[in-house]
Amino acid sequence: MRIFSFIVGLFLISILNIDVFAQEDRSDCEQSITLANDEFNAGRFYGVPAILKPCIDRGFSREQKQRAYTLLTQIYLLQDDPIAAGNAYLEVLRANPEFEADTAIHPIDVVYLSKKYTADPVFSIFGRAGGNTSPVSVIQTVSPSGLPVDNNYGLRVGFQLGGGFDFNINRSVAISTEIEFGFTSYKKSQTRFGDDILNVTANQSWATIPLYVRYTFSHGKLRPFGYAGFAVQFLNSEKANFISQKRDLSEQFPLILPETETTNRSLMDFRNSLNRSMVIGGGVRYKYGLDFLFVDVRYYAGLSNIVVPTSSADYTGVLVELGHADDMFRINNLSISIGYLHPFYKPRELKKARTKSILRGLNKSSK
Amino acid sequence: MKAGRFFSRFFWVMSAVLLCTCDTQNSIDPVFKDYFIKYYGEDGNHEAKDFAVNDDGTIIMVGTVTFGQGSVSTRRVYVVKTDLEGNELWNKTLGSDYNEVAADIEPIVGGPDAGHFLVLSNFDLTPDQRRIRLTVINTNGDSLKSFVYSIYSSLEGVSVTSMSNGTAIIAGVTTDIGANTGLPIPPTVLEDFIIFRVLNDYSIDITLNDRIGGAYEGSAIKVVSVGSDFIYAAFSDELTTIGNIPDNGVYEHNFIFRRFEGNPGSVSALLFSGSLSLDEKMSALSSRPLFGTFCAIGTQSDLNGANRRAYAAVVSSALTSIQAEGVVSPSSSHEYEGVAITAASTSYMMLANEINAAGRRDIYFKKMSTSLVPEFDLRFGAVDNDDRGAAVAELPNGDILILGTMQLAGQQDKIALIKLRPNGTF
Repeated sequence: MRIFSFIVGLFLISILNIDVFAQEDRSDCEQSITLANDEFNAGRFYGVPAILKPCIDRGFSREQKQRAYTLLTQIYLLQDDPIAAGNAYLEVLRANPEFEADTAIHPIDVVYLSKKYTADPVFSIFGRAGGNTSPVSVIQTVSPSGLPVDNNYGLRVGFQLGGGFDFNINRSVAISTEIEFGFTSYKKSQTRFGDDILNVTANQSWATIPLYVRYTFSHGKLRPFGYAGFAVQFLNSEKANFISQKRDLSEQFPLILPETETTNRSLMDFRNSLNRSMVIGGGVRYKYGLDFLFVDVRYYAGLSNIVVPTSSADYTGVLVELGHADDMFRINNLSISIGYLHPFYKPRELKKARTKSILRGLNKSSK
Repeated sequence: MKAGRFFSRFFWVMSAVLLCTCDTQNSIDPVFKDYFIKYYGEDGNHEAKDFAVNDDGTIIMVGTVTFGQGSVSTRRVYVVKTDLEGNELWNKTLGSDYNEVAADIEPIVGGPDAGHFLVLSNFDLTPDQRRIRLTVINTNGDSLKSFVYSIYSSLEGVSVTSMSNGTAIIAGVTTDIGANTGLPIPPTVLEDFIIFRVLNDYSIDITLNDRIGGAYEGSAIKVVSVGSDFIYAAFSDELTTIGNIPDNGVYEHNFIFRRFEGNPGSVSALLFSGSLSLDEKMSALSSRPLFGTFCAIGTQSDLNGANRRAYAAVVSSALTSIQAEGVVSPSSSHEYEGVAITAASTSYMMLANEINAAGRRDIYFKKMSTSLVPEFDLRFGAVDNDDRGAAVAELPNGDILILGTMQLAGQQDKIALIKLRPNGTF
């Protein structure tokens, strides 16, 4: 026990010491950056890299690294060394992939250079989980009886989890796809044969592959986004519980029997496994370091009749056992999820520099 | 960027295609309207008995509705009409002062009431006095007139056959009061079979009114006309000495076919089918000839009633020979009871009840040749429910209609109409 306490104590002290040492290093490096800035402002460019090198090697914080390499970028530009300036700017982007040179803060030559580089992610991956509910859209009511029946569908709560990736066309627009596993539920209450009741609670398991175009606001801590697309949906299973009750409510021969429950009956004999839907959604991303937390609200509008046309025809099963025939219906899904997105930032030189706007700005200012 | 543009275009094209393929009421397959199982009945429990398929494609089904439960239940004849998609057009519960049970429905093919329907039913005037009622209904289910037949102390109608001259022949069974003077209450044995004809005015034709049985026990099942003659089909234990003692609890019935001109007791041809060591009770006879034959269906069992099997016999319409006979239910651990038979265009179609070890029944259908060679068979039912067949028919386009009773959720019985393609699929 003592040995264990000793090891844990040693471990905690080590952690604390590492943290203290790191803070001391950053404090030293802050002084180095200040010194380097002073040297730069005094026009002594050549000594600046040497001043910054120990901290670059030992480890700046991300923010310090960004400032240090920005300074080096300016110096290399002034020294007419575009290759070194470009490499330094790539280090700026590695330190802060969302760094954007600003004419109000940075020299115009740095801004101009920045337009030749980007760190925008080509791909981002994300995962999400949350709750959902599935409204049913009846295409045609199917009565198991020769007379019309009264069907009422109700909402129930399910859950889903999924993950996918964005292929970013630019900083705002992406094409996204994912695989989502959804566990959904709905209920149906049917009145038939006069006043008899048949209540159905169905639980479905889906695998959904949506493909959609997403637009995301690219600035700020909170970044709203919206998307629309389509989805292919695989219905893996659907099982239902049935509660039936015979109720003869006539005055002459009243009879109400106790409810009977029939559980765990598969409805897959009456289902199309492969279905399709439109998807529309939106939400907001919250920048968390270089990644994002997000909230996503999504609606799948079912396009397919998920019921086979012969739901009212079977030799055995729930139609014969319980007198249950499915309506023809599409199923929709409204979900809310929270998730985590990790962009794969890729600092790189653009094949086609986006410098036209800078040149236009320079021309305007010269006039 | 080129890839981006490609994906964007691909996406919008796919979206347009998908939207255009959205399933709507106009685009879904309407097969479910054509082939189905549909249930009929409202308050009460409904037991199917028979149906008539009309030339306009409508179907009139008859059965018995039971209101309430146990000793306080009330039974009435229930008639329901549907179109060929199974949509109910109307239903009627025929009025009565007694508990009444449906037995048969036949279209009236001749006479002043041609185009209407005869509904045969039975009711107990008192616990030991059963009566036959014949009700004439029109195509709207209105009861136009009804007649009660009480020519014996207690009698029960099994079938009615409408003739082209407007008469009708009722086949059934009566209590042999001569051999059983002290009638138990209710009567447990209805022994002699009866055949009588009713005229256009529904009075009994005394020239065709016979009670056949004597010391034997059995029941007449159906009378059909063959040219100017008639054939009656029945079952009786008259061939054996072990079963012909009334009320001894041992029976050895056989199928009986007799051809007669005017008096059922005076026959011109006679055939028996069955085994002398087994019991064969007939339940139905096909109402029209197929390739010069008639087919009867019933139940064969051991003498104590065990090991039930569906048994059929095909006889020539001249009653010169038995064309085929034998067990037509499959060899299995289940038992079977024959229920109904009909002549389709080229085959016979039979219904039986398949009975599991728990005593619950499923509907068993078989299509077979006039030699009783099976073409295909089908089963309908749920293991834990008691489902049973009632009648079967072939539509002019070859589709198959099956009438039965299905127990739903173990709670209630409803009349079930099943419509199949000619090959037995939905």
